Order: sequence, then structure tokens, then C-alpha cells
Amino acid sequence: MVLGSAERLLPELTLQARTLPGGTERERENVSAVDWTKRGTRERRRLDVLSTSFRPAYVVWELTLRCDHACTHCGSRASAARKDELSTEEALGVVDQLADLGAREVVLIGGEAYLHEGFLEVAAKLRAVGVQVVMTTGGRGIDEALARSMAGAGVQRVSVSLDGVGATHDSMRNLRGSFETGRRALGHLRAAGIQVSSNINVNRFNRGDLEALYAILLAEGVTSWQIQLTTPLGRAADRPRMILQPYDLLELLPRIARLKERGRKEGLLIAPGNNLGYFGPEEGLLRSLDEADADHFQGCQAGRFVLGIESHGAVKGCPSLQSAHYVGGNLRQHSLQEIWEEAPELALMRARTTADLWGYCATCPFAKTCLGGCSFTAHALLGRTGNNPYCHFRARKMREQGLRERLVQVAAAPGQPFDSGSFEIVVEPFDSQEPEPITAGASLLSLGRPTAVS
Amino acid sequence: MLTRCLDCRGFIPDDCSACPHCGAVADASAAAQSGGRAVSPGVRLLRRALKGTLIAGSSMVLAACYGCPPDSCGSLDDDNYGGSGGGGTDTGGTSTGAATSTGGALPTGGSDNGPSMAGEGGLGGLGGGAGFGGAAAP
Repeated sequence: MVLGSAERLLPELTLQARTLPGGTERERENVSAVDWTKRGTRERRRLDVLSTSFRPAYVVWELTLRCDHACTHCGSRASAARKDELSTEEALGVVDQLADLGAREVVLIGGEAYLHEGFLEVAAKLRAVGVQVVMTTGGRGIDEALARSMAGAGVQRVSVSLDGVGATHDSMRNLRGSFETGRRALGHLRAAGIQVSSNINVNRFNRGDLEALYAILLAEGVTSWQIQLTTPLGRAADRPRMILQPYDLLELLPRIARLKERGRKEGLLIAPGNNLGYFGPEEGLLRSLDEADADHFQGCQAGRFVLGIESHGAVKGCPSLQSAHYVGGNLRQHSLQEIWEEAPELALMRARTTADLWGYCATCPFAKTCLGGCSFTAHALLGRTGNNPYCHFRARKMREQGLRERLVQVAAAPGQPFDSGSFEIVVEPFDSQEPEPITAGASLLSLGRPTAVS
Repeated sequence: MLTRCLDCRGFIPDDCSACPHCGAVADASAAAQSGGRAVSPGVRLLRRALKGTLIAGSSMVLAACYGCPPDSCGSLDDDNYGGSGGGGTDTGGTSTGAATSTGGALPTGGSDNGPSMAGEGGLGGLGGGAGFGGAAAP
């Protein structure tokens, strides 16, 4: 039995969690027998998410919080390692458990995953047990030798985070020269035979760079690009002026849609993060792999088919969820199967219905499909899930009424990894004056002082 | 289940008789035939299926904000990658050996070569950031 704070608060979810396991032992055996390293993206990552055979198919695993960057928007506030991170031996044991539960793809992250002493061993074992092993990185430490070692260990794809072009990226990453080291990492990885992807956190500081960055990524041989919104989580919560306002989506989403169409012709797949949406006219285009598909957002998959592991063994339904609220157990005290099947924190999204929605989301015509969008984003904005103002459909409907929603921070984040403060929504005339426009000379560091609660 | 608007290609929830994006009547012909009578969602879905606008989608590409984007959607897109450990046939022993032998390639990183920082108040790699406003938002 896994005990957690949410269990005391939500006893009914414990029962529901037990009745919605990840399939029978036989089913799990069959699932884990598949060699996912040989399967393509469509089969591995595109799932029937209406199924109730929940399993951690897509796992994001923070191997260490140690990092060679100290980014201004980092949700985990990474820099030094956690005091009690899993050893290599412990991590290798986790690999077996992931394979047993049907993991198809594991993303190794940090901090910087390559700063964990067992990084290559963990990658190699994941590959050996048939789990696709990929990585998200700032790329600063990836030179030719490390790229070759990663390829040798079986790392199949790496996403290098580039949050703008040149100085924009360097400012967000809080390190001069970071853009160039990231760009060089792409070259080393590609030369080593590893597929290269990229990802960006979009906010008011860097949103002007999207088109220019697209061109650079294309030239660098990047074949897929994940675009997601900077959410006020961790250090980004200390910089509320950095984050987008909901009405900014009115301009942003059509631009991303145009890039997606362009990317289809030019060989760069643009994939939206879960917090980018929802249900604007471009939803099908954004969310689909192929032109023939008509995919759309189908609710947060945290704890349904997605799993997050922190470097000291804490398990959450999604890597970005607020640790103080959504950790379901620790791998040093419980098996992954116990946590997956019994922890109410992992079961939150398995049991979600429209009755859990509130505010605008409770009234939305897409409520039962969307179920309030991205959970960690909603929580980071309004202190709990079920109402998410980062929504294109919602912003369009507000505009039709001559209104917009503006987020105003009312509580700062306490300063822990994966923490958040809270905001309130101010509904105002659509043409209201911008309260604090970010200018070209803005410093993200001065924007970020925790006292800047507006 | 959602259907798709024939006019704007936006999605339409099954309990909406008009597109919530552009206002187009989702079942214009059916509405005319029924003389304005209320039509159940089930009947609407059936009609939309016959018109070819039904979306039977229950699939979604899994993602996470710290995750890695999926790659191109071909079924064999990953087979040519993965370096010497590729093909999915490598053993833990072989690959781990490589890891061990190249362990020295791992950067020391962290606070040793990272930006200057001293806890949350110590973000300071770029100092005051003068000149680093970058390409500000439009």
C-alpha cells in the first residue's frame, strides 16, 4: 500500500486506482516482450488513449538534477544534484521494472542526464530490454566522444533544447555561448548516427524567434521539433512577466500552424507539447503526425500512459507535475508496479470526469474530450487542475465577446523543484492596455526576482 | 467523439449541432429534412458518419513537456539509427562495456563548469543581462 497526501484527501480515488490496473500479469508479459526499439514512432507513441489498460508507455526519467546550466525558466530549478539520487545499481533495477510494466520509450533527462555516472549504462540496459531510449538535453557537454558513446549505448534520438536564436537562447539559459554549444551538439549527435530533434519553451521573451529558429533547425538536420508553452513552474514561476498571457495564443497558434504546414513539406515534424492547444481551428493539423490523421487532444495522460520519475526515486504521473502534490511514492520504498497500481496520485487522471472541471472549462463544449487540458499547467496557474486558461478555443470565444483573460500572480512559488505559485484571472476588455510589456532590453534575471509579485 | 466541420475543418463535439468555430450548421441537410425537430446526438453522429465527416479517433501521440518529440511517422523511421548499438539487437553487456570504456568522455559539468550559481538567489551567468534582451516578443 502506498501512502500519500492525496490518499488521505481523496480516499475514493484509492479504490478507483485499484480497479484500474495496468492489465493482467499475462497482458503485461506480452507487452514487455515487444522490442520497442524496432518499432516506429506511430506504433510506439501514438496510442488508443481511450483504452483503460493503463501502462507507463512513455516515461520521462530525471536521472540527476545536476546540471551545467541554470536556466531562467527551469521547472525543476536544476543545478546541483539532489542529495539522495538513485545510484547506478538502483537505476538499473528501475529499468527492469519499467520493462515489466510495458514501457515503450524512456526519455532520459536531468538536470543533464549525462552528468549521472550511470547514464550510459542505464541507456544501454534500456535498449537491451527493448525500450526505446531517447534524451532531452541542453547539449552543452555533448562533444564528439560523448555522442559516439551515446550511440554505442543505444540512444536512438536526442532532443536538444533551443529556446530562441543566439542571445535570446543564451539569456533564457543564463549562459553566454549556450546556443552555440547546443547547436554543435546537434552536429555531433547527427554525426554519431543519432536522430536529432529539438524543443522550445515559448514565452513572451522568445516568441518572436520561432520562424528564425525553424530555419536553423531545418539546416541542422533536425527532423522533429516540440513546441510547448513556458509554464510558471520552478524558476519560471519567479518570472511571471515572462509567461504568455492567454490572449497571446490568438497570435501564436496560427503562426505555429503555418510552421507545421511548412514543416510537412520540408521534412520537419512539429509536435505540440501537451500544454499547447486546445481545439482552435488548427487542432487537427497541430496534433496529427500525418495529413491523413485527424488527431486531437484527448485529455492529460499523466498516470494513464505517461510516467515521470525524479532522480531520487519519486514517481509522478508526468515529469512536470508539482512534486508537493503529485508524487505517488518512492522507488526505494515501493515497487514501480505498486506505485503505478495503488497510488491515488497516479490515478487522478484515470478517474477524471467533467465533474472535476470548474470555471470556463466546466462549460466548454469540448469539456468531456479535453478534460481541462494539461494538468501541471492548470495547477501552476490556478493552484489546482480542471480549469486551464491557456486555451486557444477559450481565448477565441472571449475575443468574440470583446474580452480577454489576463493572469496576475498572487502568490510566489516557495523555491523548490517543480513548485509553483498561483495566479488569478482578470477578465477585461480585449483592447486593454498591456500592463508590463517586455522590451528588447529586458533582463530575465531582473524579471525573475521572487519579490516581483504583481 | 468529435466530427469535423466541412467548412473550417475545426472539430465539433457530438452534442453540438453547429460548428463552435465558424457557426456552420453541422447537419444542414438533416436539419432541413427533420423540419427543425430535435435530433439526438446518436442520430447526428450516424448522419455525420454517412457524410464522411465522422472522426473515429481515439489515438493521441503521447507527449510530455520534458519529453522528446516523436519523429517522422514512418513505421521504420528509427531502424537506421542508434549508432553501433542500433538495430535493437545489442545486448546489455556489449553496450554497457562501451559505456564503461568511454566513461571518461562524460563531462564533469555541474557546478564545476556550469554557470556561476549559489542556490536560487545566485542565478548570475549573464550578470545584468545588458544587451541580452534578444529578439523580444513582437
